[in-house]
Order: sequence, then structure tokens, then C-alpha cells
Amino acid sequence: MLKATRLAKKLGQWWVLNDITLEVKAGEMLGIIGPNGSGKSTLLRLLSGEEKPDQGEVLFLEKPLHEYSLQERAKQLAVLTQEQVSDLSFTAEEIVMMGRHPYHRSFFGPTPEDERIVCRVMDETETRDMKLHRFNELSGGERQRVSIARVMAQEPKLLMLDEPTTYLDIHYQLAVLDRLKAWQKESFLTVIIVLHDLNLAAQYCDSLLVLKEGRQVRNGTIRQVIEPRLVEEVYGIRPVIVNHPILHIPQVLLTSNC
Amino acid sequence: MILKRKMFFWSGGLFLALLFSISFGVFLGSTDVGFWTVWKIVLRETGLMACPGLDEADAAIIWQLRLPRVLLVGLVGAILATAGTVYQGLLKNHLADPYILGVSSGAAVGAVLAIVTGWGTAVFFNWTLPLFAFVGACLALFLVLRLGNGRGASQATALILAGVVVQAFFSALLTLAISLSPDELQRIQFWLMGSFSFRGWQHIGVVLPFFLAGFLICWWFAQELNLFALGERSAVHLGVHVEKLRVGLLIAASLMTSAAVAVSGMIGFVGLIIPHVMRMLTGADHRLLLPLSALAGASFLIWADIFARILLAPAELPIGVITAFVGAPFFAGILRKYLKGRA
Repeated sequence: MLKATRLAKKLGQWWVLNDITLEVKAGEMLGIIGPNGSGKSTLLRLLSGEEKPDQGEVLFLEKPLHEYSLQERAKQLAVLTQEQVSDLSFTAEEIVMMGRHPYHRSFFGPTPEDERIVCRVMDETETRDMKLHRFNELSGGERQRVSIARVMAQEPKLLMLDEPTTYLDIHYQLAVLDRLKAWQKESFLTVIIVLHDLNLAAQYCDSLLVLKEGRQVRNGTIRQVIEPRLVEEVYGIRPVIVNHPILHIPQVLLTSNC
Repeated sequence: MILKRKMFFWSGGLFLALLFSISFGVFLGSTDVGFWTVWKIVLRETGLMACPGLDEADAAIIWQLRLPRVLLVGLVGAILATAGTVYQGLLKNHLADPYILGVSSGAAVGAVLAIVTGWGTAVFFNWTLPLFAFVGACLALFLVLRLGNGRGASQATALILAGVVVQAFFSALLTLAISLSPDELQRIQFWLMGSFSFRGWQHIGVVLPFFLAGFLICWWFAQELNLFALGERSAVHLGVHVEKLRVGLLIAASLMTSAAVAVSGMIGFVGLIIPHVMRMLTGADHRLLLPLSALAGASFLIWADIFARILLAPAELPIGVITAFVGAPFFAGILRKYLKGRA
């Protein structure tokens, strides 16, 4: 689906990313983890074609990413950034409908197909009840679910998300990630997701890429990545790694230094 | 479906309001002309109906003086409201407006430069003032956007401060121009607060093409303008050429504003109040918001002009005084709400 070889990005004199090579297969969920300032968001900008790498190349569906027109790309690849909606007078439904923009000159209004798709994704994200509510009437968790419905209305093959669970309570964190997982299985969606929480990353992702200071420290399965030495090396903490009693995957316990 | 019903309801209502405002604006004046006589004169002059027995002096007053003035006022109101809507959408800043961004004062300086020097009249004729105004407007807008290029929560405040600075500078230039050319004093002074005295059909001829072109361009890109609210990166990922569109629409809005300023001077706050109120009433969708703001802006300014004419009759107030009396408290209100929301 997406293949990146030897990506590097310079910001002024600094190489903020160096020698990143990765591949995501169709239907897979790749997690990108790493401490603050390790280059996660920059990597996402390169992988989504928003910025051009100074070295290396990104292939999307066997074709260099920069050869896609913006519209063509938007029909295959959706990105949920951390941007906030600035005009709060839009209704939830209007925001979700914006996801249909790549498909037509929507000046003439939505087609029945657009209506159907918007209805479906709003059902799936449990936002249909609030479709006529304006954004300023919605809570943070509701807004985030509406935004996720919006990128799904885009019907992407590949979905990239930049820390979609930030500021959500644990209920919504699980709800959002469960929904993504369901889409991944039902519609063979490929997902690249930047996550802060190692335990959530371990539960939901199929493989993980670890960044530190712009370099790729490891790229592998959950068990290869979530292990004490690597977590200590990357985050500078001494973790206790236990096996999840039900899911049988590694989970990180934090121990305070006091 | 909802969009269409809403569109029908609001545009119908505002259109009737506009017709009423125009009629009232034409009806009102020092010479009494009956309400129906006014319409008969209009019907006769446009050749739609033969209406015998009309007083020729009345007809001249209505057709040559009052009607063009009222229509021009409406046109300028529509332009300022449309431009304000576009600026607010593009800059994601609900305090943006042609006046506050310094675009109006930039345009005024450009126009005054054309009057004082007489440059370009031989080449561009009637279009000289709007074109010079456009250059001034672009210069002011460029300066404000460069100066106010803050990030995050401070962005709105930075933009307004930049607007204040640039406006102060251009106002100084205006005052300088006035001091240097006492002959043109009368003509220039009206730019400072806006006025529609002695405006006629030829001014409508100058402004109308700018309004039509500017409005249609902005309306055509209404859906893209909506996407700006998601954030620029999100808009890019929905297939919008954000940079090109932003420059293009800023130019379109500034071009309209320049034409308006060239005929009427600096009129503040219309572009701030109208989009704000309409957004609260009808929602943020620019496909609806742009035409409704234009209609509401036209009515609003016609009423402001009516008050400017009657408050000190027979003397006339600059129309900018009226809009500022309404607009400044309104601006303060929004600013307060905004600062509270951030605190």
C-alpha cells in the first residue's frame, strides 16, 4: 500500500528525520511511537505527501506520492490532523459532508450517494443524533468522533491519524480505536496512526515503528518493540513489562522514582 | 433539502427587506414624492410601463438623484459584507473586516493619490480610482498579513494589532495628502468617514462589474472556503489548493473593496457585523452565507444612509459615523466574548 525508502528531512541546517524506511501492507495498522520531538508528526507529513522529503521517496499504490494530484490523492488517502475546527457554527453533518469534497464540485449540493455515505459513517461513529447540532454545542469527545466520521466519509484506502486520542477520556479513547479496528477489518482499511500511549499502541496496532531524535530505532511486531531494553533506551524510564492477562500482549507498567 | 428550504426562506425574506429598504430610501427626501409615484417613475424610466401624468421635476429627482444613490449604497453594503465574510473565512478570524484589516484605508490612500496627482486618468478613465485604490488595498493587506503573522491563540490579536498599526500609518498619509492639497480638501475629506453625496449612475457603472466579478468568484469557491474552517492541512488533504485559493480570494475580496472605497470612502464595521449576525442566524455554510450577507449588507447600509440623511437634516452626516456608532460596540462585544473564551 505505502512504501517509504530512506526518507530524510532537513529543517534549516538540522536533519529532523533521517533514514526512515517502512512499508505498510493493505489492511494493516502501523503505529508510530516515540517521545516528544522525535519527528512523528514530521514523518506523517512526509508519508501523506504534505511535504516533500529532502531525500528518499514515498510510493503509494506503486506510484510516487508526489505524482498524484491533490484531488486524486484525497480520494485514496485521508489524514486526521490535530487541527481544531475554527468556525464553530457548522453543524456536525456539514462537517462530515466536507469529507465528500474530493469527489465532486459540491457547490451543487450533495448527491444521494453522498447522503448515504454520510449517514452510514455517522451511524458507525454514533454521531447521528447530533447531526444538526452546531459544533459549539458538542463536547471534545463528540467533536473528535465527528472529525473521524469526516475522514471516513472520504472513503480512503489509507487513513493516517495524528494522535487521535489526545484529550479524550479512556472511554472515548477505546471507542475511537475500537471503531478504527472495526473499519480495518470490515473494509480492509489500512491505517497509520501516531500514538502516545504505548499500551494502546500495543493493543491495537499490528506493527510499530519507534522514532527517537529523528531516527528509526526499531520497526517490528509488538513483541519486538515493547520490551524493557528498548523502552528504557527510547524514553529513559525503567518500565515493568507484563503480559496482559486476557489479551496476552505486552503492557507497560510505570514505576515512579520516589 | 434543509439547505434549499433555508436558502429559500432567508433569501426571500432578505430580498423583500432589501426592496422595502430601497423604496423607503428613495421615498425619503426634502421634496415630497408619493410612495406610488416613486414606483411609477421607476417603471416609466425603465420602459416597463407607460405612466402618463408624472411631474418631470419629480421624475428627475427620483431617477437622477435618489435612486442611483440608494442603489449605490446598497451595492457598497453588499460588497463590504461579502468581502468581510470572505476575509473572516479565509483568515479564520471573526474580527476580520475590510476596515479593521486596513484594506479600506490602503484603498483610500491609493484613490487619494490618484486624485491629487491626476495620474492614470488619461489611460483608465473611470477605472482610475478603483485601480489605484486596489494597489493601495493590496499593499495594506500585504503589510497587515506580514506583520500579524502570529500563531495559535495570539493570531487573532496579532492581526488586529497589525491592522491598527497599518491603518494609523495610512491615515497619516491621508492627512498629509489633505494638508498638501487644500484645493482637493472637500473631495478628499469625505474618504475619511464615507459619503454618498453627489453619486450617480456612472458610479454604479464603475462598481457593479467589480461586485459581480468578485462575488461570483468567491461564491464559486464557497465550499472550499468552508473547508478552511477545518484547518489548512485538513483542507489540503481534501484536495484544496490552499495557497492558490487563499491568494486568489484575498485578491478578489480586496478588488471589490477597492471599488467600493473609490466611490464611497471608508465605511467601517459593515463587513464585521453582517457576516457575524448572518452566521449566527443561518449557519456557517458559505454557499448560503455569502449571498445572504450581501443582501443583508445592502439593506443595512441603505438604512445607515437614511439615518445619515435625516438625523441632522438638511445637513448630512458622513455614513461612516452611523456604522461606527453601531459597529464599535458590536466589535467590543465580540472581542470580549473572544477574550473570555480564551482566558
